[in-house]
Amino acid sequence: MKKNTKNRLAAISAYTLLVIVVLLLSTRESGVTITSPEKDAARIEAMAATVRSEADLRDIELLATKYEIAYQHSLGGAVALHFKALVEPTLIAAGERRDEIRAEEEYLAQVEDTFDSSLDDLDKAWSMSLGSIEEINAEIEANNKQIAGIEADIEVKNNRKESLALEIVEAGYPEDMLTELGNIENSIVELEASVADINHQNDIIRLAYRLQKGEELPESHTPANVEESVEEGITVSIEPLVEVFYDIE
Amino acid sequence: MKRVMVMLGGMLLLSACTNNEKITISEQQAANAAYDLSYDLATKVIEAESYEEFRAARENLEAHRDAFRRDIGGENYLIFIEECNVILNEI
Repeated sequence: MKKNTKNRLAAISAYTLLVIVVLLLSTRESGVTITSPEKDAARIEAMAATVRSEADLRDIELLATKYEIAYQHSLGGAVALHFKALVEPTLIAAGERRDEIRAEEEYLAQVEDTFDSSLDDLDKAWSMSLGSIEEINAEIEANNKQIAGIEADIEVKNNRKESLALEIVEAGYPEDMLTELGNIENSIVELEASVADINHQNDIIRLAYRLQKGEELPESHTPANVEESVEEGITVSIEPLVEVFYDIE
Repeated sequence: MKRVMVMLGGMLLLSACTNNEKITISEQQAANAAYDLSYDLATKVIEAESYEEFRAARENLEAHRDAFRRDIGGENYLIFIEECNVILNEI
C-alpha cells in the first residue's frame, strides 16, 4: 500500500514536472512569459498607449502575436482565442494610429520637399546667367515650341488610348493589347512630366529675370500662352498637399 | 504687452542666431518661434537683393530648420516649415 502511494506520488510529481517543463519550453520558444490573458492583454494595452512611432507599433503587434502563440502552446487554443479577443481592439486602434503616423510622416516629407525645392529654385534663379531680353525670349519660345510638340504627341497617344480601349473590350481583353495600353499610359505620364519640367524651366527663367533685374520680364516679350503663369509667379515647387491633423503632444 | 515681449524675444533670438554659434530653440519658445522665425527668416530669403545676400539668408534659414527639427520636432517644426513655404511661395 505504501509502495503504491509512493509510486503514485512519484508519478504525479513527474507529470507536474513535465507540465512545468513543457510550459517553460513553450514560453521560451515564443520569447514571453505568460501570466493570465487579462493581465497580459492589459500590459499590451498599456504599451499601445505610449506608442510614438511606427516601429513601436510593430513591436507591440509582434509581442501580442508572441503571447498568443505562447497561450496556444501552453494552455490551448481556447485561451489563445480569449487572449486574442482581448487584445484585438487594442491592435486595431494601434493599426489606425500607425496609419495616422504614416500619413503624418508622408505629409511632413512633402512639406520638407517643397521647402527644399523652393530654395533650390531660388538658388538656380539667382545663379542663372541671363543674356539679353531677346535671348531670354528666344529661349522661352524654344521651350514653348518643345511643349507644343510634346502636347501634340500626348493628344495622339490619348486618341490611340481611347480607340485601343474599345478594341480591347471587343477583343475580350487579350493580354498583348492590355500591355500595349499600359505602355501608352506610361508614355503619356512621362510626356506630361516632360511638359511640367519645361514649364518649370520657363518659370525659373522668369524668376531669374525678376530677381536679377528687379522687374518682371517685359510683357511684350512674354508669349501669350504663358501669361497666366507669369502673373502667378513661380509656383512650381508648391504642390497640393494632403491635409493631416497633427496631434503630437 | 505680451505681443511686445514675444516680438522682443523673437528679435533677441534672431540676433543671437546671426553668428556662427550652434542654434538652439527651447520648447517653451517653440510655438512663438515657429511663426516669428519662419516669417523673419523666409522673408529675408525672398527679399535678398543679391546672390550673396540670398546665400546667407538661405543658410540661416536652413540652420534654423535643422535646429527646429533637432530640438523641437512635432507640430511646431511642421508649423515652421509650412509657414516658410507660404512665404517662399509668395515670390
